[in-house]
Amino acid sequence: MPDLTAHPMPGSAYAGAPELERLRAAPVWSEELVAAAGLRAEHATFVTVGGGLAGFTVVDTLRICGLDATQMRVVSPQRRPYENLSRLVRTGQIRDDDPLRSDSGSRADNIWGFPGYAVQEAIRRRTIRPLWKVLTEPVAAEFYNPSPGQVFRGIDREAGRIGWDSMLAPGQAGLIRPSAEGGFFCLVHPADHSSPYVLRTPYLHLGTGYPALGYAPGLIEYRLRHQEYFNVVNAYEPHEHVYQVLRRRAGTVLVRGAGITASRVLQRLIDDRDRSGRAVRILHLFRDLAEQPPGRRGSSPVVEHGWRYQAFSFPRSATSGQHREQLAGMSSTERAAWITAMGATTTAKRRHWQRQLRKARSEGFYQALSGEITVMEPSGDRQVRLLIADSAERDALCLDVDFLIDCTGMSPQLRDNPLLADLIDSGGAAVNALGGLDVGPHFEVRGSGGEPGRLYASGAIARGGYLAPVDSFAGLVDAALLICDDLAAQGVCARLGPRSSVAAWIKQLVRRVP
Amino acid sequence: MTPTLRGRLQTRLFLAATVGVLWTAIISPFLPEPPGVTTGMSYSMAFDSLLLMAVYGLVWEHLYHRLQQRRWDRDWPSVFALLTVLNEALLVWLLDHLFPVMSGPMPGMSGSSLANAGSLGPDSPYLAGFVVHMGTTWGLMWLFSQGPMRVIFIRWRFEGGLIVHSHVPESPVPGDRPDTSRPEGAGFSEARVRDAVPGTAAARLTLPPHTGHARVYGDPTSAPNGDLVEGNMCGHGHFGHPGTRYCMICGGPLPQLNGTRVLGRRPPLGVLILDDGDAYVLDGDVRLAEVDGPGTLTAGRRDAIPAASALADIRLAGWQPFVSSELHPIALALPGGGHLHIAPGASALLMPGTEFTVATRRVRFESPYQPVEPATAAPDPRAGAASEADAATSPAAATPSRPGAPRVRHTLRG
Ligand SMILES: Cc1cc2nc3c(=O)[nH]c(=O)nc-3n(C[C@H](O)[C@H](O)[C@H](O)COP(=O)(O)OP(=O)(O)OC[C@H]3O[C@@H](n4cnc5c(N)ncnc54)[C@H](O)[C@@H]3O)c2cc1C
Ligand SMILES: [Zn+2]
Repeated sequence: MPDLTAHPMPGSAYAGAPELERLRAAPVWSEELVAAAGLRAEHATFVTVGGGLAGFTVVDTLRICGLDATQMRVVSPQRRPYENLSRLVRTGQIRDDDPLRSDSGSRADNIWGFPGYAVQEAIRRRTIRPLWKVLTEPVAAEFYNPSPGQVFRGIDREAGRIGWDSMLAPGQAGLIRPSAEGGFFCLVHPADHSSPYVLRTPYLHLGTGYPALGYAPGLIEYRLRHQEYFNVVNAYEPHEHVYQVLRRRAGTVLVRGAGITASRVLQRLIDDRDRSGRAVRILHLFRDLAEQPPGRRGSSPVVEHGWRYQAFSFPRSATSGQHREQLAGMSSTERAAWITAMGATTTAKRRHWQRQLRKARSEGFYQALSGEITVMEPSGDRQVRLLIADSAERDALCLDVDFLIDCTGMSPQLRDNPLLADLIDSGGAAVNALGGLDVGPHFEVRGSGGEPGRLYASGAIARGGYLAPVDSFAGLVDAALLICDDLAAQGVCARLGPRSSVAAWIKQLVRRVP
Repeated sequence: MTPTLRGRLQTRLFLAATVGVLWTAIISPFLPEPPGVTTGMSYSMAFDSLLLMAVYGLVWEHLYHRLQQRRWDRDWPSVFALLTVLNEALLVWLLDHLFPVMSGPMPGMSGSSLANAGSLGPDSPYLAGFVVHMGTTWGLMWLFSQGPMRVIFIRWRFEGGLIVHSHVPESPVPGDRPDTSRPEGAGFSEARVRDAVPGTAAARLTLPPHTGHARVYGDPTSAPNGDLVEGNMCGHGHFGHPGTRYCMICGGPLPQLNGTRVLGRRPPLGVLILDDGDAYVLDGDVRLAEVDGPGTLTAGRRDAIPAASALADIRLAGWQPFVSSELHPIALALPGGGHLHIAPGASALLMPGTEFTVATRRVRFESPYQPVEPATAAPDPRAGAASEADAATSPAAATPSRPGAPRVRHTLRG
């Protein structure tokens, strides 16, 4: 078998072409170098790479701060900002009308967060129920949560208003290098397979999102060894077939993980079971049934049957308020420890599926287990044999299941994205203690060079920085504002003061172009 | 908005000085005051109450802040902010009489008003005016903090209610070396991954972009089935579908849209789910037949089941499966909600989520290879049909009816 790793990564932008290879070797580029490589160069005042929600919020804020659409470029393989999110949300069993896990005022399409999703829904459906919910949350009601449908519609509308499409440079960024003259170069491979070109910009933003879904090592090994892709699945890959099979016949399914996705998967399994009446047995594997949730000091019953409950991934005060302020004052190691503790796997306590689980437990078709899977292999009759070792009990448990749905979370490893791996290796970025890009208070990537230009990063790739929930709607907007403030300080755009903010808000309300 | 202490204090003073003052100025003449109270006195009572509410509120805020520390998430639900009017107004009412703002008996008062003019109890003639003033002022201040504040001071909601001072320090000079080390964890993932390079790498041909030349990695003839398809390879050397973002084996990213195309052996395209829940992995051409007589549907390799007993065939062309039947019409229920009928001999693309019925048997196709576009844009099976026609491997595909359109029967024949 040929050793593939010896070759430049197939599919990466620079395989083959010697002039690109030469560019790649240079840690700093100049106009001459780019010209010598025979590449066309285009200039833009601001460029963002990724085109997901992270890029969208920054571009939206910049447009609101007065930058023109013609001055910005969005290098992205996706046409709509939420394309990747919608895919993950859907495979994670959150349908278009199901609740997401953020509040009414956290909006990626409205930097003011007002009017919130609840107001909008109240108007659209002519009911005050959402408003009542926001008023009484979380005391007398559960938190109001928007649905993906609402979120995506809002983004579509705002994207149309700011001229998102006109800023798109469809394609993929292959390389990023600081320029000797200041600013950055970004090598773009167009989506239409035309020849690569270079974008030159003083201000570059990275919003490339989760580099990988990060399947558990055991799952990868299982797939490689047994060439079996359908009985053991990751919750973030399409796995509709599991539900479809279990709608038609009895079976046993093991769900691993205790996060929001696990709750959604269980809800789907139980919903389907109720509807089809098939004898589906659900086993649920926790790592540890007695783990305490982060941040709690024993008071309320928040650990139940192995779940750890928390309304959002991070407490609300980390988005705004005391925890946010505290984090801003912490050293990077303290920050890493805090974020690791508070951002640990939790799920939202929602009445509907609580009731479902209670019923499932009492009827005996749902069973919680704890331990680690030590062996996973196909067994006869298209089943999977699992050995589960529990730290408490001596004997490993041996189980045959029809399906295993792995809902353990995504762990972003920057190096999984070739662009970021190259950026780090070429000395263009540093990495923080949590494995995110090391960013400053205004999300400027430290050690990027390119002065007086700046390189920014937000979203999942900037985790471990001053803002814990940087990969959430509200966090992305906060980051976008901080980035724009930094840009305003350098005279790129206007800073949003009270008057301009109100004016811009009214424009958005009446859907006028900013 | 979950406030910090400084944010609380600033917000309180700001709201009282703006919304509070404005509203008090508007409403004072209309407050239900007892007879004998002139407009001027009404103004002075209302403004004094407002002032007491603002000043003593600073003390209350410290208490609220203390209470907030007992909440694990340091949140302060907005309903608390609304309901604290009850305790605050009570204090202001007491203070109004202590100082005294409510001036006691007035010339022109008579009867019970006169008797109760200095009372703290519910009989006080000043109570109605006080309640209306406090209630509406507080309500408006609260409402203002729920929306307009966010618009006027865009950073207010993130900075815990701060108005005048941005807490986040100014950006340091870029290029500052951070205090953390260079990526250590990254090396780990690399090591793990190297081990995971598949033993099934089979043959790979690499096509440098825009050259049309294939570079050979390994021996193409060693690929089982000879089913080489053009695809993508993740950084760990796993071969996959060209249109997906994440690798099917490891979840790693797949370079999208551009870069080097790779030929590799096609992984299974999905599963066929028969009506009894039996699943059949689609890793080659498949034949559906009632081999053991009517009632039991069997799926098997196409060349292993005689054509005579076949109900339908599923043939793979590139990354796409097509269904056809020599004898029976097939009805397809498309994932977007549309329907498609094809005549015997014609074939149709199977999108993930499609269910087709052939001779009363209902079969569903599911696949990890979802269309790249979000599902809100209804997938168009015609695109697939066209590319299959390009591949010229199957009979002409049928055209589907538009989702939502009345059922149309197509009778295309290949
Ligand atoms: C299942 C799920 C549920 C969530 N629910 C919530 C919620 O309820 N509330 C909340 O606030 N947040 C939620 N989030 C978190 C957050 O909103 C999302 O993670 C957000 O979409 C992140 O956006 P992004 O732009 O950083 O990444 P993405 O949306 O992943 O976009 C990144 C884009 O960059 C592209 N890219 C990568 N490399 C390159 C390159 N070299 N060149 C060009 N483009 C490149 C990728 O193709 C991708 O399209 C959820 C996230 C997930 C996954
Ligand atoms: Zn892979």
